Amino acid sequence: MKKISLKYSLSGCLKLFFRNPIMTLASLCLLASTLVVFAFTFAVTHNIDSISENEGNVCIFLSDECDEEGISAVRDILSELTDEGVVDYVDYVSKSEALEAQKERYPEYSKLFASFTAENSPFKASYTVSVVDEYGYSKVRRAVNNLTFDKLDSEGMPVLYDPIYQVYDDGEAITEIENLGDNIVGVLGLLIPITLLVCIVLISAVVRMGIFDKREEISLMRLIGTTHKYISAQFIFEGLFIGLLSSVGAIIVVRLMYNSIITKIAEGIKLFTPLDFSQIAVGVGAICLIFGILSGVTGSLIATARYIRKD
Amino acid sequence: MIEFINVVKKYPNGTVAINELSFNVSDGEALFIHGKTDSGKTTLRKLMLLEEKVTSGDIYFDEVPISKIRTGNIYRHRRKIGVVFRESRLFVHKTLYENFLFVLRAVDYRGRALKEKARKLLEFAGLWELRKSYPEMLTPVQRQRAEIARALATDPKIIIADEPTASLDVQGGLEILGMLMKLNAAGKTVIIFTKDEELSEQFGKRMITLDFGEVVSDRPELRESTEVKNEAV
Repeated sequence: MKKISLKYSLSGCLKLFFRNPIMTLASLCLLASTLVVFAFTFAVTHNIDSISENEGNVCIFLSDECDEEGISAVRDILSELTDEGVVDYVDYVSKSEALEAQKERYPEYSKLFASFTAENSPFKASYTVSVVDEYGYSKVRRAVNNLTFDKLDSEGMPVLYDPIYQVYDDGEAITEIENLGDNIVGVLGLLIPITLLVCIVLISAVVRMGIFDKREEISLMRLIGTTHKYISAQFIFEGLFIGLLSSVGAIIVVRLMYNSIITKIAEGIKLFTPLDFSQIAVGVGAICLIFGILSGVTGSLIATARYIRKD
Repeated sequence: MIEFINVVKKYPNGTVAINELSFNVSDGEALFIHGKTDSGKTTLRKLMLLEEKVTSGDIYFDEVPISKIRTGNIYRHRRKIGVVFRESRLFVHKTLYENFLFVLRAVDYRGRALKEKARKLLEFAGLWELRKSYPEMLTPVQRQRAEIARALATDPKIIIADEPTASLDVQGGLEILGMLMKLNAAGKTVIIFTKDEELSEQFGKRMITLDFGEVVSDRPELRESTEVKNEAV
C-alpha cells in the first residue's frame, strides 16, 4: 500500500472539525484536561521527590549577637555529631550569603534588597545540617539548644546569651507532604485511567460519525478495489490528530500554569524550592504526547474495527 | 474467462436469487444479461464483485474460484473489474476532476501519475473541458460517460455495467452502449446488465436472459453485430 499523502490527510483532519465541531471539540477538551491533570500529578510527585531527597535538613539560625565564639561553638558541636554519624554534612551560610541568595530567589524585589548590605543584612546566618535519619532531628536540637555563654554586656554586667535564634527542621513536614502526595497519586491514579477511557470512547464516537458521514465514499472505495488499510488509515489519522492536538494544548496549559501553581504551594512550605519547569519538561511532554496520541489512535482503531467492513 | 458453475445464492430470509446458474464468458467477449426486476441481475453483479458469497457452486475468474480468495486479497480481485453503476456515484461536493483524483488516489496513484491518469480518463470520456464542473451541472449522458471513464481507473480487464442506460433516453442509451462497445473492441470483456432488450439487440451481441435467477435463454452473438454497432454509434 502506498503512503497516504500527508497534505491530503491533514486536509481531511481539518474537515473533521467542520463536520462534527461540537463532538470534536468535546473530545479535544476532555483529553487535554485529562492530560493536564496527569502532567500536574507528575510535576507534583517530582517536586515531592526533590523535597524527599533533601530530607533530613535541620536549619540552625544564629542570633544577631552571635560572634565568632558562638559560631565556632556551634561548629564544634556539629563536628562532634558528624563524627558520631548523626549528621551527614554541614553547610554554613553567612548573613551576606543569605542576603545574596534571597536576591537571586526573588529578583522582583531587587529594589527592596538594594537598601541592604552585608553589614545590615536582615537575614540570619545559619547552619544547614543534613541528618542521617529521623532520630537526628532531636539529637541536633538537644545539642544546640543547651548552648549558652556567659558574657559581659557593655556595662560590664554578666549576661547569658544564646547564639541560637531558632532551630527549624522539616522532618515532620516532609513526612506529611509525602503522605499527602501518596494520597493524591492514589486518587488520581484511579481517576486518570477512567477519564482516559472516557476520552477513548468519545474519540471513537467522533471517528464513527466520520465513518458514517463518509459511508458513500467508503462503499465506492471498497468496490473499486481500495485496500482496507487505506480506508481505515484516514480515520486512524484523524484520531491521531485529535490526540496530538490535545497533547500540544495540554503541554501549553501546564507550561503556563506550572509556575503560578507550584509557587503558591511553595509559599506554604518553608525551605521548599520548587523544581524549575525545564527540569520536568521532558517528562511532562512525554506523558502528554504518549498518552494523548495513544488515546486518539486507540479510539479510532476501535471505531474502524467495528464500523468499517473488511469484506 | 469467467465461468459460472451451478451457482446458487439463497438469502437468509429464504429468497433464492440465483438458482443453479451456469454459463461462461470468454476473454474479450461482450455479453448482455437481460432480465426483469428481481431476475437476479444485481445479485449476479454482487457475487462477481464478492459483495455477496455464493451459497453453493462457484464463480471462476481465469480458472481461480473467487470463493477461495482471502478477505485481505478481495481488493486485488475488484481491481480487475471496472464497475459502471446505474445511478451516478460521482460525489456532488467534488468537481469532476476531484472525483477522479479521489478514485485514483484510492487505488494508489500519486503525484504526477495521478494527474496524468485523471486527464487521460477525462479525455477518453470527452469531459476534460468540463473537469471543473460539479456533477449536477452535467447531463445524464455526461455523468454516465464519467462513470465509464472512472471504471477504467484500475485498467481492468473486465467491465461490468449495471443497467447503465436506465436513466437515459434512447439516444443517450445508444451513446453509452456504444462507448462500452468501443472498450470491448479494444479487448476488454464487457458484461452489461440491462432491462432494455430492444436497445441491447441493436448491437447483436450475445445475450443471456434471466428469470427468477435462472438462465432461460442464451443467444449467441449475431454475425452482423459489428455493422449494427457502427451504425448505432
